[in-house]
Formats: sequence, C-alpha cells, structure tokens
Amino acid sequence: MSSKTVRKLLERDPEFVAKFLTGPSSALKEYGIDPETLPEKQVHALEAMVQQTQENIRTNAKLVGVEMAKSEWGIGMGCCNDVNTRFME
Amino acid sequence: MKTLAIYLTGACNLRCKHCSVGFDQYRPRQALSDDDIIRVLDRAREREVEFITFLGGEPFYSPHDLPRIFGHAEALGINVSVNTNLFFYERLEELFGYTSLQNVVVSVDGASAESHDAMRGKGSFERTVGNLRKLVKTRNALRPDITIDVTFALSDLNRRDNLKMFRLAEDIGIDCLNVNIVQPIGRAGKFRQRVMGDDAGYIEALVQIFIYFLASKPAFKLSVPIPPAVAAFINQKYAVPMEVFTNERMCGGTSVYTYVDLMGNLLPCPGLSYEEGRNSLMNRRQSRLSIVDHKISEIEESSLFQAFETARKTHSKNALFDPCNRCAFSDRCSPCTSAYYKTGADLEISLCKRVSNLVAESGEQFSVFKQTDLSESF
Ligand SMILES: C[S@@+](CC[C@H](N)C(=O)[O-])C[C@H]1O[C@@H](n2cnc3c(N)ncnc32)[C@H](O)[C@@H]1O
Ligand code: SF4
Ligand code: SF4
Repeated sequence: MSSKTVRKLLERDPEFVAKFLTGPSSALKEYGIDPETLPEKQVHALEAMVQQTQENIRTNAKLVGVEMAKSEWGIGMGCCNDVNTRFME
Repeated sequence: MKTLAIYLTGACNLRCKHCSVGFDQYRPRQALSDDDIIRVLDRAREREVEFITFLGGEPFYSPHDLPRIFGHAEALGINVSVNTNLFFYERLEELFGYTSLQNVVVSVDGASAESHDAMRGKGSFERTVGNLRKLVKTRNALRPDITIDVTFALSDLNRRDNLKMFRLAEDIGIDCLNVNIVQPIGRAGKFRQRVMGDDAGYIEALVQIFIYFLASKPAFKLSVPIPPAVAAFINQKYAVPMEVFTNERMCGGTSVYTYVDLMGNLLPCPGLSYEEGRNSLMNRRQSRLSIVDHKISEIEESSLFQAFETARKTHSKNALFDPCNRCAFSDRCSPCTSAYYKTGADLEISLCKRVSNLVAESGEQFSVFKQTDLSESF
C-alpha cells in the first residue's frame, strides 16, 4: 500500500479518517500497511496528509450549526440538556 | 420551562446491563393512574409547557390508556415525545392518528446483534431494529412531521460499533443520533467493570465519533453531551474542533425541564428519583411537591426547586464535585445538579473524571485541571 492509497482513504473513508487521527499506526495496520517499513519519504507525505485532513475537518466544523435544548434529550445523569449539531445546507 | 418529563412506569420488559432505572424494573412501584396523567397534562398546559416526554421503564410496557392520553395532549396542543425500546410496535402504531405524537426516541445500543444484545439481551437487536425500519417507513408515508431519534448509550460493550452506528443510522433514515455517555448508576453501577471499561478506550471511541461526524457530514443531527473540560482535552490531544459539541449548561433541571415521578411528585430533574440514589423522601407523594394537588408554578416556589435552581445558577456545588473542584471551567459550568441531592451518589462527574484519570496516568500537561494536592495521594 502506498501513500497514494492512504490519501484516497483519507479523502473517502470517514471511518479510516477517524481511526487514523486517533491512532495512526493501528489504523494503518488495520488497513494492511506496516508503518514500521514505510520509507521516510512516504512518512513525510503522510504527515502532510494528516495536516490536510485536519484542515478539512476544521473547514467542515464551520458548517455545523447548533440547536440547544430541543424536545429531544437523553436521561443519562447530567446529559439532559442536549446540544444538537447538524450540517447546515 | 420547555419540557415536562413524565416517568410513566418503572417496569420494563428488558434488563439492560447499563440501565439507570435499576431495581425499578423488577420491583416497579405504583404508577400514576390515567386520570392523574390527564391532570398532569392540564397542569402542563396551564404552565405553557411545549413538550411532554414519556420515560420509563418502558412506556409501551405499561397498562396506561395511551390513546386517551395522546388524544388529550392533542386537544391541549401539547407535543409529545416518547423514549422506547420499540419492542411493542403495535402500541406505538395506535398513536399515529394523534398529531400530539411528534418525536420517537428509540434505543439502539449497537450496529449488530453482538454488541446491542450484549447490553439489551438476546434477540433484542433484531426486534428493535426491525420495528425501527417499519416505523421509519410508516412515518415517511403517513406522518412526515414526526421526528425519529436513535439513542446509543456508549459503553465498553459497544464502543467498537461507534462508527458503524453512523452507517446504520444513515441506512435507516433517522433524524438525530443521540450518543449517551453511560453513567455508572443503577445496573451500570452493578456491572460497572463491564459497562464502563477502561478510560482510554472509551474516550478514543468518543473522539472517533466527532471525527467521523465532521468527515462524513451525515444528513442527520448528532447530539453528544460534552462538558467543556472534556472538549478542551479532545481538542488539545486530537486537534478536533469541539466548539459546537461543547455544553456548559448540561443541567437543564428547573429551567429547561422538570420531571414527574411515579408518585406524582414534581421534581427538578429525572436524576432524583430512580431506585439507585433515590432520596427516601421520594418514596411517597410529598404534599408540597404533588403535581396532582398543586399547580406547577406553586411547586416551583418550593424550597427544593429554589435550592436546586440556585445551585445550578451559581455553580456552587461544583466545589464539592470531582474534578469540578479543580477545573478551570468551574465558575461557568453547570453539570448534573441532581447528583448532589442523591443519597449515596458519587460526588463526581464521570466523563470529566475519566479524562482527569487519563491525564494523571499519562503525565500529560493539561492546564484545565489544577494539580491535586500531593498529600491526597499518600
Ligand atoms: C431508561 S431508558 C427508558 C426508555 C426505554 N425503555 C428505552 O430503553 O429506550 C431511556 C434511555 O436512557 C438510556 N440509559 C439507561 N441507563 C443509562 C445509563 N446508565 N447511562 C446513560 N444512559 C442510560 C437508555 O439506553 C435509553 O436510551
Ligand atoms: S434501558 Fe430502557 S429498555 Fe433497557 S432496561 Fe432500562 S428502561 Fe428497559
Ligand atoms: S470538571 Fe465539572 S466544571 Fe469542569 S467541565 Fe467537567 S463538569 Fe464542568
């Protein structure tokens, strides 16, 4: 697997993104790549991709709107007053 | 006050591992009569409450005359939401003719039978999700105004399904995914180790939920109650922008909602009357708090409501909670107020405590929590 494949995954597979950003080595392993054997050039490429992915997420976060305290709410202790978040058109 | 929650019954057909209701399930106390519930709805109308939420136990596992109750709510112009495990679909279907039915919240605790059934019992995934698909179909055809939520109580038994839940939710076509942070109360206290698991794995599962949401832009809403300290930690460690998910006002007791218990007491919040930690005062109808005998506005004058509201507004109880007592957000955060009024409850805010444990174990720098006095550890 090359860094190109990783880029594709980061662009298209939100599950991979979530796993990669919380645990890069275990995510790579799960998707069949041994991070230990990556050539240095590819490691640098990966680092740049992580930054790009985080940038995309920050951009998306700006599109999220909040609705406080709607009718919907859970009853777990201390989580009653919901914040509902959704992407705005 | 926007919402009045009514604990319709403690009884339930299931015995979920994490259930906060605890012993109420199999030693159900009395429930209010249909006439009493109708009375409560009238009181809610008088107080201009917008929403009624029926909780349990399992609301559809109770002998109440639900069509009568929903019909009365409709006549009063009150919207109703109901929390359910959706085992008894036929009883919900009976209510489709009432415009008062506006929101159904269905508990789905995994994207597969394996994890959902580990929490809710064998065969429950198939039944609940099968009925949920039916519900969405019927809703789309007959009542597009009804919103359908799924509540996923994130625990150690289902955290590996955290992301698959998004795909399931998308596939079913719900309107909102609520992620409940599992609280170690009731049966979750009894099965603590299995339900709570380890802190690092739990927090990571939570972080992945935020990243997935932001990366996938689903068509439904996401609702996860995150106190500011936890948000700050996630932002620091994983660079996830957390502003929109952060809630400094998690306690809505007395202001956003109040709660009617099985005895007909009006209480500031649901946390005050489950079996576990329930104050013995709540075992009977209190003359001062009885919604059957008093207007809501009168009960709001009671010392319990006044004390609760003051505590919530002034954040005064934060000094007693761990780790609120050493948190930089302590002067503006309103976490669970009811915990203070319970008997034998842990004076801690579980999710923040988990983050504080993680920070302590890893030795990471995290300036939100002040270091505890070293003498405490000896
Ligand atoms: C107590 S149930 C009552 C309604 C219905 N029987 C059901 O299961 O949806 C309401 C919601 O609270 C959640 N819940 C129960 N115990 C909890 C706990 N200890 N922490 C967080 N959420 C909990 C359930 O998963 C469910 O979504
Ligand atoms: S969570 Fe709901 S379905 Fe499960 S035992 Fe508790 S009340 Fe019953
Ligand atoms: S530790 Fe307490 S005050 Fe601080 S964010 Fe958590 S709940 Fe709020």
